[in-house]
Amino acid sequence: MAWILAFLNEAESTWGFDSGRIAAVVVLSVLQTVLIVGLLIHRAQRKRAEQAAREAGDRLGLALRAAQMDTWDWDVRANQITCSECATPKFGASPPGGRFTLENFLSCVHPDDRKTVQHAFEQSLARGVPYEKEFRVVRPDGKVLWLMGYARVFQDEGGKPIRMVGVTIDITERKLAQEALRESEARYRNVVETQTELICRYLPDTTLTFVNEAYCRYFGRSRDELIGTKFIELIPESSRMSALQIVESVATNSSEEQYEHEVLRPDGSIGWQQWRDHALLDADGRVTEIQAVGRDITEQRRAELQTQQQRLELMHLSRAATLGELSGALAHELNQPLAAILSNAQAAQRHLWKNPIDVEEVREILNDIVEDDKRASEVLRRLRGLLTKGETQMQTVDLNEVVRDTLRVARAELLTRNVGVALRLASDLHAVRGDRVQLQQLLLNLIVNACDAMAGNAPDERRLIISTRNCTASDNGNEKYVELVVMDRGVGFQPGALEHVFDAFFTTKETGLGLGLTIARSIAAAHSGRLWAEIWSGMRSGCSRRPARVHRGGS
Amino acid sequence: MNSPTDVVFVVDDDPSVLKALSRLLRSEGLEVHTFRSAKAFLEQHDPSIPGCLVLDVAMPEINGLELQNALVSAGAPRPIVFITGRADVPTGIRAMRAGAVHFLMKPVSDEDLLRAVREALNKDRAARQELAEIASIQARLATLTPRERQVLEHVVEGRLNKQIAGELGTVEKTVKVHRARVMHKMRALSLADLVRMAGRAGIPSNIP
Repeated sequence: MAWILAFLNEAESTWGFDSGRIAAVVVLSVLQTVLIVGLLIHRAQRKRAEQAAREAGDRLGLALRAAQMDTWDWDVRANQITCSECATPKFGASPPGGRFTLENFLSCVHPDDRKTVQHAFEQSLARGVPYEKEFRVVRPDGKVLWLMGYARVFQDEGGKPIRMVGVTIDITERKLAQEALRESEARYRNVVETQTELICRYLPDTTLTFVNEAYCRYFGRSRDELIGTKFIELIPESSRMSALQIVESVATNSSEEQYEHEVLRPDGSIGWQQWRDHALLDADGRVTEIQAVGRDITEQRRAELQTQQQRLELMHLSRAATLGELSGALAHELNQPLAAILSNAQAAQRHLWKNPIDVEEVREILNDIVEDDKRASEVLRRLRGLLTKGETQMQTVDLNEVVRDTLRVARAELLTRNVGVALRLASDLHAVRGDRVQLQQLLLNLIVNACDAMAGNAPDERRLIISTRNCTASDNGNEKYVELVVMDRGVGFQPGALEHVFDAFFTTKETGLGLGLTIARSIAAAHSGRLWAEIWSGMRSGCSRRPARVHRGGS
Repeated sequence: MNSPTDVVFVVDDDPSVLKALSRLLRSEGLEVHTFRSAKAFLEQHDPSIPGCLVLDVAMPEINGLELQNALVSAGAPRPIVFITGRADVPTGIRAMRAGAVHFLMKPVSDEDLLRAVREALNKDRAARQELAEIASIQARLATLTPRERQVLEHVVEGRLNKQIAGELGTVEKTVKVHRARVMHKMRALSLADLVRMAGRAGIPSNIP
């Protein structure tokens, strides 16, 4: 036993761990034992030895069959190979004369392998080293089998090889599996590497464990440079926080997430990437790595930004146009405090000529002048707010406040057009997220539109009702929204016109571009809202918007 | 120069403008009554108080022009100085046709406003004097007998006593007596004076 163990140790060091090889070594060792036993106790204890050998041989035969192995014994001097029974089918029909030589054996070997097999035999014989070879044989039916051969050489006292004892293992299945695996691996590798999509795997702390060729190309770095670094460092400071949150969400919920973030490109510019990440789990369901597939969307982003920019421009133009329509009324709005200031100042001048001067009166006048001046600047500030070309600024907004602010701008216009306004604002209105200026513009457009529609009415029929209320969608009890209704008593839309009121350049008026309602609707859409017109019995149209995103905490 | 009872009624929906205007007018020693709306003014309006209106054109509910029309149709017109924020020619023309004294643009200078207000007050005073005079003539006319009235009508048409006597079927002497009574009752200083008074009272005359 000690020997076998030693041999096994040797086997480990030279052949490595391989169940097939170990089995072969064990078999060889057993064979060797059988042989030695047979040789040493040749005569005196022959009978007992033969008995033992036979028993060993029987056990061996069973082992061999179980392991799908064949044994062979080559008498070098006689050039005769004795094979175990199951070997024959592999090497074809028995050779003529029942004698199976090395040449017979080699002729069965696949032509491509024949040379190396022969060489291995020669090497083994010449140097007395074990023979070990993987090779193919071609069966008479044409089928190719993969075999693994092991053998040891026995020498006489002079060191001349006299016999080789070996085993052959059928490894065709393993080989085919390996081959298939290699092919599939190659296929997948090819898919991954020739992708224009960026593919990577990373640990939950964003350390990269795999990147594909496209990823390397994108960042202009080699695989070795990238693996082991954290991809978060490739993202600009400003976008890191949100990216990390998504990674954390993927890692903790093992969810799949799609997201976009900015990225630092090798030329120093900022690009945009879109990623789809999903978590890879171990057998216990723990997240081990995250696999991500991404692509560059910089161009797409740029186009989107450009569209957005154009939308803002258009909105600004429309706002300017609306204010242009209101300019007379706005001049009036500005004129009021100016008129008060002038009269007050001239009254003060007159007081200063008097004797004694009524200082208290002059003081009051000066206070009023200051107040009116502030009022004038307030008008200008509101106008500037509406005329400024600004980025969209989403913030928590009280729609009632928007209504009041807008009416301050529209006040003079409503006055000159003799339109009375009734407000029905919900006192507990939920806050919404929105851009204050854009919402004012939306409302201003609706108000101006309503005023235009009522221009032909008798003065007491020029009424505008603006109402707000909290709503819950009937189809989805959880969806809360806020509704704003602007209702007038203007000439109703023609039945066909109602479908077109929001179309660009559709107008029933002689003046006007017909963009007001189109833009109003696009603003509503940008606020996850909806704007529509209805004809009410007796009333004309109700234009209403419902920003679906209700700020939960707000009231 | 203004009688102490003259009042300037200022109507403007903008409180600070209202205050500033009234301050300016008061600094000139004028009596000022202010109103935030046309409705408030109409509710408290006493046509017998002499004075004028300073009126904002653009006001909610009842605007300046509508207030003007309301006063005219109520038979209680007053000289009005309109103040407007926007140069609106048609509105100005309508206002002037309906008897506005001035149509001023905001911001209005003190001189323009005071001149206009003075003019308006004078106009009101003149109108009131005229009304008073007509009322006095009407009162005197009411004291005439039907015969004296007939004589008066013939006299102011420029007929001679003889013609009148023929017309009325009486003698010249009787006409003379009636005529003297008419001159006395009407407190006429001369025939021309009588014709003028008759004219004011709406009695047609052929005498130029």
